[in-house]
Amino acid sequence: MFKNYIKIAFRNLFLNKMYSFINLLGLTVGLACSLLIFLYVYDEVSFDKIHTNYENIHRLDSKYQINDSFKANLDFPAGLAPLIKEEVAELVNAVRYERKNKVVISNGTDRVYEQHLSYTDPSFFEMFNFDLEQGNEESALVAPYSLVISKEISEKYFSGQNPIGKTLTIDEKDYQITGLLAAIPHNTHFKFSMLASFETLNEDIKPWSAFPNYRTYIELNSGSSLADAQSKILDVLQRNMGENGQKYTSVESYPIADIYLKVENFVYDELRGNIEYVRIFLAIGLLILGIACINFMNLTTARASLRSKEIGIRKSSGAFKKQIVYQFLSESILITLISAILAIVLMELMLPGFNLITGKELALNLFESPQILAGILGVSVLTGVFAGLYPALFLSGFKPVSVLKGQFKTSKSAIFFRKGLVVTQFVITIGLIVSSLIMNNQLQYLQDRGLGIDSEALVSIPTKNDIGTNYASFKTELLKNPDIANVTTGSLLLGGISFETYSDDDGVELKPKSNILQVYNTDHDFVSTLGLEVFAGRDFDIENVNDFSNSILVNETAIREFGWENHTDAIGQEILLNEKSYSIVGVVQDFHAFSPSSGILPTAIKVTDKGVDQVLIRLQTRDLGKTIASLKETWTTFEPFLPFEVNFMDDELNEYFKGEQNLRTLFGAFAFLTIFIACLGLFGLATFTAEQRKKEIGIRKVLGASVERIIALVSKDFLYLVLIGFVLATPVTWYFMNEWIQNYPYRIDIGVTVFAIAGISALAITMITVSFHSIKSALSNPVDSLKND
Amino acid sequence: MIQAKNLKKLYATEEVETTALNNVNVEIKEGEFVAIMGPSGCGKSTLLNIMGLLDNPTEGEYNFLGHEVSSYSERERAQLRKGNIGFVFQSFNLIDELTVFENVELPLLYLGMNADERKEKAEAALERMSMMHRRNHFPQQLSGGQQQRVAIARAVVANAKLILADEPTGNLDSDHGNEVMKLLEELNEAGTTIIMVTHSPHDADFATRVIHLFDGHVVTENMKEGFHV
Repeated sequence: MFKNYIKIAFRNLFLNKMYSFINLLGLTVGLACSLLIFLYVYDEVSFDKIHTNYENIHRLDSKYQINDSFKANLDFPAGLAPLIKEEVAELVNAVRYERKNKVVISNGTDRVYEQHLSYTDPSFFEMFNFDLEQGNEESALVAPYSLVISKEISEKYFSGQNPIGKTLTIDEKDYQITGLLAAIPHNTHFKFSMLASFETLNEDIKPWSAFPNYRTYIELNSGSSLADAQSKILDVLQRNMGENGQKYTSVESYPIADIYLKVENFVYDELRGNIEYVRIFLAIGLLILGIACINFMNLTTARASLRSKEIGIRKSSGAFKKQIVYQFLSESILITLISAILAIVLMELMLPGFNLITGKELALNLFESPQILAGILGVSVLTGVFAGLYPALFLSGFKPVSVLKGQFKTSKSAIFFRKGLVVTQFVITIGLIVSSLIMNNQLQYLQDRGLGIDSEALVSIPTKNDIGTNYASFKTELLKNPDIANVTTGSLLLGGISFETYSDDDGVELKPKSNILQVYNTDHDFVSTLGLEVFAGRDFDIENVNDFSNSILVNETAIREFGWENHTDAIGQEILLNEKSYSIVGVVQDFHAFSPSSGILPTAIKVTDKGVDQVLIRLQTRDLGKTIASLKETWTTFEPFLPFEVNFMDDELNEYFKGEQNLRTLFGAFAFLTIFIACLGLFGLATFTAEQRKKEIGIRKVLGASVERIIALVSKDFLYLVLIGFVLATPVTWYFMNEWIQNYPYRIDIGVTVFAIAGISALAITMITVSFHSIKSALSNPVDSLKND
Repeated sequence: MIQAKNLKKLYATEEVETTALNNVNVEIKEGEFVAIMGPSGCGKSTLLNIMGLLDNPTEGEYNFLGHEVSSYSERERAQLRKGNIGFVFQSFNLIDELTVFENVELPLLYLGMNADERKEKAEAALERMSMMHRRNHFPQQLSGGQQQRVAIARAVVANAKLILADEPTGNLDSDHGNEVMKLLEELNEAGTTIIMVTHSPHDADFATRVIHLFDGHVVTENMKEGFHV
């Protein structure tokens, strides 16, 4: 029986080449896009599930969950992990993990910055599935100053040699290499290329310091209560930290598999995904598949009359309705399976570009990863069932008596349903065009806005604090260069040590009252270097000794937060920080000290001579190369042991937006492909309608209809559907995009333009698609169609 | 084999109601060859469809092989149709995408027969209709007469007790028409009950009994000489 179904399916496929082509192409592109998206989503949700016992591994946190996301406060004392591993029966393992922001590696006389060095306990390798290719996992991280490195680092510093036993000088200290890491899986939130023993840090730290700073991962005994473990850990903290322990009001934790996608934090040393994007892409993947399925449904049911005789014969030969349903379902599954094979080929072609945009390393190793193959098969079969079910039920419902007599008439409800499906496609298409326009506009707006300051010709040089003592003379030396307009300190975009955040969450009472205050520690020239406008009062004055220790500037948001009506009201007011009082001398414009996508917080600026991690320089030059060379020269004189690195703020901003930019490019590309698939379906439907109305058109022409009238006649039906689609899509899309855009504190007005553009585009695309047939029918010789009938 | 009592069939559209059959009483015994005649629209095909379990009457009783089927669902009717009734249509109604052999084999597939058995029976039926040499052709490659022979082969392949023929020669020239009628006659002589709708007095002559319908009523029943119900 099944053979018979397959046979007839294949013969139909070859018999109606054009429709088969449309169905196959639509399903192939649809499947390729959606499978690619599902592959991406699968990869996103697979993070940290590589660890055998991942369900029992948690990272400690001392904050609560806020709505859907967590806010991380990951700072725990170094003494905690070893003690709870012993004392808390629920735990199998506890591991500390600390990353150094930027280290300097001495390679001969060269000094090179290296990111991604972390310190951890020997049992790190027990808890997590990271393997050593060389070295002993149990002992590699036991001794102080022992180090395991990635293959990339090994290749970079010990090209071609076995690194084991060799020495690497990091921040002027010698580390002995005890292990070589096997390839590190990409789907983990950890980002390291070197791991040093935690014991190395123990020389400098107090186990129960009042300023704890270490992330702690725990692994539960399977079956043990997480809540019990948490309360015991809290108890250990409070017992051992004395008074300082009281600030831990609770100990929370989140499963390691949630960290990548669901935990919101400002820790920049780990990979972070975006659950929002995962959801959006999942939705797009389903919509694309849906559109491809609708094409199939519409073409199959529209052309049902051509199969009606066959169904009548089968039924009169003894077939049950169920058997006819199975037959058409197996036909649609067969077609989707053929499409799936073609889609795999298409995916292989799309993958390099897709990977480039997403920054992923997705691969279709079908035979090595049976779950991907099973996934593709599963999605294809489901698609086949979904696309084929309605046509199968529709076709199997034919009455043999009528269809065998050629009395085939599609019911009004079936036609209504088909039109409903076309409208659905237009709703999706118009919705995607609008969404993609709004997303682009919003991103463009954020990019144009930048940090709210003039970022052109603003460069930053990272330092390692050593320049602190020499900063003043370094600055004086730089300012001798006429190409340098101004110099200050502080890190924008990246966070860093020049920030202090005072929050009532921390139990710090701010005066005047405010939930949060960010304090920027910098020098006198911060405002002038950044080009911030002073709205009231004055900028810092280097001649004024008071400014160094007692004066403070605040931004506009702080004024609002503190409840002062006018800028001038703030001048002369006092701010109490850590029991020290500062007098407000000026109000400056708002600027993004951190992420341009997030809101501007109440911010204060004060002068300090401590903690310089970035030097900010405003250039005024036409010869950039010369200026940079001169900068380097000055740098080397002051910091012979530190690498020279210069970052342009504009580049940093572009880099910052790159992720979002890429994902939006992808969204646009998928929106375009969705439109393409919808057009294919429309084209097929228009072809069929034109064929069906051939005789009618012939008669109308004989009776004197003009070519224009005929074009209008054929196009009209489709244009109505576009209009209905537009009317339905507008409020739905507006609602969802309005929700989405609320995520951004600074946002565009959605406006009507995007809807107008999308509506007109949909109309134009439909006209172009349909007009091929309407013009062809209108220009054909009426006798031909009448004679053929 | 068939007893129909007070059969009534109404077709209703939004505006009009048409009575296709009105109080039709018919009894057909096994082995009969019955021709149903009458002008277009008199209800011949409607009656044939009800007898062939392709449709239900609006009112009345219809007993087929001892089953009262007038209120059967499509599923139950399909079950009873299987293997018991074969159809021959004016327009042959062969599936264009299947070969001659595959068309003939179709009813056996739905009877769940295995491949060997199907092959044997389908080939025997084709042999009987002298169509074996065309077994791998597609319907469009055959003449009308040949297509109808294939359709008859399909109707008899499952050893149906009843063959319903709806104007079996309507699309054929007289030579091919005669050929088809002779085949039906042979089948009847071999014991198959045949009910045939026709316009042609010539074809009706092959039957043992002729039922005349007019406006949904049975007007006359003529028994051929030498035959009796």
